[in-house]
Amino acid sequence: MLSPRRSLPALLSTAVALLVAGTGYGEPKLAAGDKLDVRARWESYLQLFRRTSMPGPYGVAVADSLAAPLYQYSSLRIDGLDAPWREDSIDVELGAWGSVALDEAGPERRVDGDVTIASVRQKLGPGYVELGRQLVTGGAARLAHFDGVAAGVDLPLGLELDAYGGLAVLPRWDGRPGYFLLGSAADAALRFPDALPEPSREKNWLAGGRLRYAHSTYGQIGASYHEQRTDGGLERRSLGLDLRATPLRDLVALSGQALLDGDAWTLADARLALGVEPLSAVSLGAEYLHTTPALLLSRQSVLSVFSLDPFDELGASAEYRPWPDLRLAFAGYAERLADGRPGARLVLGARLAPRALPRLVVGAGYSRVREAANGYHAPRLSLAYRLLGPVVLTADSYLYAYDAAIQGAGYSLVGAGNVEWTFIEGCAALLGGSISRTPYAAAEAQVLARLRVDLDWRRP
Amino acid sequence: MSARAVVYVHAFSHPARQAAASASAPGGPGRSVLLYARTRAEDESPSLRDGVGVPTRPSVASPLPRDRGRLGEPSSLARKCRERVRAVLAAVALFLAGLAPLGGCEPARLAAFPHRLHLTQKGCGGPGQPKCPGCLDCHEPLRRPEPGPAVATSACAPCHQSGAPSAPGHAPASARAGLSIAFGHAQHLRLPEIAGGCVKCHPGVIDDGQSRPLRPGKPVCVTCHADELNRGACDTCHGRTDLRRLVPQSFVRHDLSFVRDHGLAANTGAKICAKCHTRDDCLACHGQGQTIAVEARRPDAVDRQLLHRGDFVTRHAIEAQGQPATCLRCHSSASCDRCHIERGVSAARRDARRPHPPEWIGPNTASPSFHGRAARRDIAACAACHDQGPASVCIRCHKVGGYGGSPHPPGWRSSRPRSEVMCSYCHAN
Repeated sequence: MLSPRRSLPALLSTAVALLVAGTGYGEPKLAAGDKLDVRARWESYLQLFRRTSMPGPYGVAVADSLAAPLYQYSSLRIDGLDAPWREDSIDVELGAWGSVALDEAGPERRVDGDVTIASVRQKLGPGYVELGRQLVTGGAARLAHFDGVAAGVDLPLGLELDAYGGLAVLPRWDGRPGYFLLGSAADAALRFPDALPEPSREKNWLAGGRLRYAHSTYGQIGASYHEQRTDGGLERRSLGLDLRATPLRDLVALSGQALLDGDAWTLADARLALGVEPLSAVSLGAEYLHTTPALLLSRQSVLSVFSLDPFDELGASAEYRPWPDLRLAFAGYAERLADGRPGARLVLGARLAPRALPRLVVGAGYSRVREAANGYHAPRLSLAYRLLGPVVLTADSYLYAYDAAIQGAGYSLVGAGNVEWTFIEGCAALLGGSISRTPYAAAEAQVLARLRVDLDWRRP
Repeated sequence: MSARAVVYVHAFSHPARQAAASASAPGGPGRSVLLYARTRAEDESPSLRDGVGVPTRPSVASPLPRDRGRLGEPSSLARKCRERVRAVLAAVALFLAGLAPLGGCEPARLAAFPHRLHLTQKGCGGPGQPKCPGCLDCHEPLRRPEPGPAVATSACAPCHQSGAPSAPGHAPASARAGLSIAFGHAQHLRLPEIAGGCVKCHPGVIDDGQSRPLRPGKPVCVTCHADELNRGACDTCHGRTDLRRLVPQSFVRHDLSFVRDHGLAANTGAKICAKCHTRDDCLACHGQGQTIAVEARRPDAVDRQLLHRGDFVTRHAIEAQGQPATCLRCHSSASCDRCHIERGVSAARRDARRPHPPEWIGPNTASPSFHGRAARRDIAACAACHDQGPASVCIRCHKVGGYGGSPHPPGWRSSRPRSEVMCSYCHAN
């Protein structure tokens, strides 16, 4: 359940963001040349039907279940609000979700939700300051979600500096497992985390920064630092290095990143990708990945001290567009684990959008995964057909044939179909359903309805 | 804020239209413009192609007329409904009459103009002959800062009294469907690097596009505008209303490799991502707290490479084994365990099914099934069920004084003090 006390920073951020947005939005008139972008999105999902017949643990059939949860996602982004001291200088972003189980009533009814983004950004000359619940991506941060402040500035000579810090937004503040707070195997099975004392957010914080140098022709390089604490202990401390080089601008692009674990002082993750476009219809790529899995675990995980064995992967990809209607794609990767055991993955794909049948798009694919213990072949077929102007049908099907049977079953079969009607530009209703047979479900069927509203205003 | 004086010229951004443009040039198709951006409608989602071959953005488009939309002047809902009803009725009537077209109109094509013929024609420049034309003799309007036609039709009159301005090749740019580039010819012609020369950007005019593009591709623009590209200031060139209909190609391909590559691109180009995507879009996939997966939210996006499509529950163990720690790029081990608890496969459940082979635990440490070997290779897989902090089953044996011995691998080190709470689980004082 939502707790106002836990969500105080998010609620405050939301209130401030709404206030700023409302103030700016209420301006009676926009000056000529004034820029303003407003984007609002509203998505509602209602699971109308779900019936599953499961083998269940120890082969005991699990009773069928019917549920009708309603999920709601909303977001609003306004760029270019005017501040009294500067035109077009404020950006506001809001995002939230909620859910309610309509099939339950009274106090048993589950209501949940969260604010995902609520931030206000003030642009100040070559820099900016952003306040509220926000997200930082890239570099050592990888992807960090926090309530706090971020700031950045464009410096001379192509340099750019960003810094951020605040209280970490946990994956689900109210969904925390209890075993971190108690201490026995029995308590680890505790299923009612609300019974536990409130965790202290002050001990869950993060901070970091990034310095980037961009050359106008040859690309850019960045160095970054990120530190995150959980319950006062070190969650991760990372040093990052990333680059994007375009030595032959329209022909070759080289991208890479490396993460050094600042606790063990060992390379945690490195990736290098090369992209080549020798012809306008041909794209080629090559990639190398090196990872030490234990170093991607939280430093607060006991298991993070058990291994330093790395994992390497080398891959290549290609895309060929022999003519505009057809796109062919290939990707293959070979893996090498520390004990020498190999693995491999292959993906083939084709997308046909015949000009003679402009309402139709057909996709076909085949995947082959082979790992040490098991693997699978997976053909896939999908299509989309515009039945009438605003009505689109889509269908998707998968077959997975496993090298070794799982739960006594050698294959999975999944089929899905949807119909979407765009009844007003920007407003669409979808009804979709799927049926499947898998090693874990003798049969499963579900139906989902979606209403999506996407409003987009731009000026000029 | 001063209004920019710009001329909107048409950009051929999709291979179909690019090919159409090239094919219509004398000499047939050639590699005219490098592909750098595709319309979202044509390339991203099959559901976004309308019946007449013109890219639109039905499900994520402005409710206002594209060129006239402004805040504070909402379009009439009733008018839209009437138009929609009329369109539906017309379509139904066509369908019932057996005339429902599967094919559609061709997108408007760029008709070629024989530039080379005009620039190098014989019968000019000599005694008694008219002066040979230069680029700006016909394209004189481009010298002016205000928007307008690219060709002065009066320039044709001395030779073409029969009304050549209406001939193919002189169709106004605005007649072609698609996207626009904001470009000020007058401003560029004054630049010292260009010095009024047109061929530098338009090399195709001297060979009629047979081998070189008539219109400059993005690399030509980026020669000078690289800073704008790096800053993500896409609207320097692209029409602001067009931006959400474009799928970038030069920055990060939105194709089969997108799921793998977009993280690298986000490292260096988060500002470019933000031109089209909100941060809520990132969380639609990466947000662990949301209770409905992105695959369930986008069941109609059948040509996108979403990771958890199909029977992911069954195959995820295979995927995780082949790419150790890949799950950890988005999920914490606690979120793995939460699902495993519900499904009865976590060590946190007393009645959990035991998936391990014989000799997983025991005195036979030389057994190929012995758990230590697997743990060294992929500790992240162990963490998906056994990462319960002080309740982790591992530290019952692997603690100071325990018979499991030290679990630390050779070369292991940490800068943290042993007094830290997590260390004290094993290193009890």
